[in-house]
Amino acid sequence: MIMVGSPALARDRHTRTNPLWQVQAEIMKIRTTRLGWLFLIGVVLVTAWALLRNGAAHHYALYPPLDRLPAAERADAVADAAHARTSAGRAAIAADMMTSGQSAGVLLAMLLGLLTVTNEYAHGTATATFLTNPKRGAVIVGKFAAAVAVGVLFWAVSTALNLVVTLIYIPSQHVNVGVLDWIPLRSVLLNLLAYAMWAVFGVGLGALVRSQVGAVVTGMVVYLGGAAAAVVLFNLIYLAYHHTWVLAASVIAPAVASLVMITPGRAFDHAPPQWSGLLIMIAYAALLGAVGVLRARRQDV
Amino acid sequence: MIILVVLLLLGGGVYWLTRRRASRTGEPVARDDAAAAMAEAAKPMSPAGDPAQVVLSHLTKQYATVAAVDDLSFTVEPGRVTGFLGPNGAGKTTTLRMVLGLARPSAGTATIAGMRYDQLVRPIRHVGAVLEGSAAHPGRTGRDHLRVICRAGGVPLKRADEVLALVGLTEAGGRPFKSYSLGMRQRLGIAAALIGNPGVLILDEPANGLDPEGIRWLRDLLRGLADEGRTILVSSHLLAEVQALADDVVIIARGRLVARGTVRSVLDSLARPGRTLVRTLEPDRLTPELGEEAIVTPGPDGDMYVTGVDAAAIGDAAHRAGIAVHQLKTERPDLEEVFLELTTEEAGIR
Repeated sequence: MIMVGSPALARDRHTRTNPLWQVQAEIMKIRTTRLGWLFLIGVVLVTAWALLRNGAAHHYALYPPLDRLPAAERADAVADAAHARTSAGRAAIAADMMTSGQSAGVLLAMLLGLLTVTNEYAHGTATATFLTNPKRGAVIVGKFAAAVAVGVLFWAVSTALNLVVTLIYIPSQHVNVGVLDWIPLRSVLLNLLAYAMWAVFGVGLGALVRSQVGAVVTGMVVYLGGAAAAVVLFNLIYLAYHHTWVLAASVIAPAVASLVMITPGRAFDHAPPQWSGLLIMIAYAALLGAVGVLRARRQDV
Repeated sequence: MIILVVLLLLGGGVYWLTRRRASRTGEPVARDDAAAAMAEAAKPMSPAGDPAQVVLSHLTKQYATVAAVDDLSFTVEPGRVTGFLGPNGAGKTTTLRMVLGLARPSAGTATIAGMRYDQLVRPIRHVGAVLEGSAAHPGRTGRDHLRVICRAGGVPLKRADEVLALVGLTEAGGRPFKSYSLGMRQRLGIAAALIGNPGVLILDEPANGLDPEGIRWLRDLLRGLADEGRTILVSSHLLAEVQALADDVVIIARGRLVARGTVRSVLDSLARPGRTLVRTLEPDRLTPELGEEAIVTPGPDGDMYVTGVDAAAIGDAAHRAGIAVHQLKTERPDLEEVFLELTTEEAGIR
């Protein structure tokens, strides 16, 4: 009497669980709350703001208002302008414009990844999630994949906006550089990597900390304050043990590793090579991911 | 560089890939026997569902100093509604969470159709659960909440609309969860439990927040589902509800089994027999006429309660003595009294 025929279930012929279902469900969860869309708008806003700021800064460097500068600064400004017009300088302008707003965008991707986990506990939806899929490791892996997909989307939106503006901006400044030359392209792709890594980092951190506020604060501190804290700490150690490898070792802080990873050449004096930043970011993502899966599997919901 | 390209392809392609996979209906099934058997086992169920026993065997949950659930064993049979009763803090919710794989037992096992919950293939098609404190994201609509579950369980999204209609939430389906009343939230929880048309339903305090009409609706729904052959386990503190609804009862207190059996047998197992309320103007004259087996205790308003002899014997005795009796009423203990008696004994000073 209750269960009259279900046309929908009649079409359900799956004999096994498909791990992609969880990924789709996680993406749907992000789509169906306001937060996901607010974050996307946030990505657009920070990108637009950074484009304005970067565009103004590069214009000022290329065309310094010499008549309004004090005499003492004129020589420097002229030298800067000359440097900006070298081939390295032009490539740097293109790379900078093409990655506008992406350090903030990466932070948003990380926070969104984090919230995909902590939201489940904050709103009591973890129960429904784990009832539908009792394989908790698979749930967390689904969240990793969804967070990476959303991170990639954020990157794509930001990069598309940057591309359009940069294509107009570069000719307007009479600078001869290809927007998709290797150097700017490399920066764009390295930033893609950063979006993916930090999204995974966020999910892992969320699974580890669980408390919404605790995880968000930890994430922000690690991302925003982590680099400065690491630099101060490792410079203090350097004062005691005068070895330059101490400075290079600051790469073990995630924020420094990320900076090293996305900066072509050396990110700072005595910085370790770029690939070390990549390896350490992968290690963090893997470690936090594994710990997150383990924590989810062990603990009662 | 290679890593970059691989990541770009992987990351960017995830969403597209998942969409494509989902749009495919029905994967080709291999022709060998094992695969055919599997396909048979997971075939969409008939309206009668997939009846299965729920078996708890020495289930124990030990926290630092207390055993929330202590060596609990019982079986829930298909085609019947089993009421799961106990005072607050007796361990009902902890027990159900262990059955559903949400909490890990310290010892013992709980199986559904012979398997632990996390061993079930597509559990959504076998077991539906409504748990206390289970909720939806406040900003997500009821329909989207159900669609997310459909998606994660591999059920066509249209099913969300079907179960919304089933619980009478079609119109509210587009509103955010935070605007729902307690009763609507319970209905949404029940809708979620019914998504996979499961053969086993486990409900923790499902009547909470429902108005009398809602409680009646729930009772009819569960009765109908049990009559279709499903296994229904429903915890409650509303004893009258369970008495009206359940075929079997399991009573626990302090995590331990106190009584189990059919509602009738639990009532009958009570040591204290039924008593008879006698209303007469001459209780003092009637008492010696009742014989030595009768035990008389004073009741309200000068009435008296008699145990040890039945109502017919009391009536005969009064007739012989020429005493007018205005009322003779046999009172059976109801489940509530049995429950209170059993659980206060267990929970109190032993």
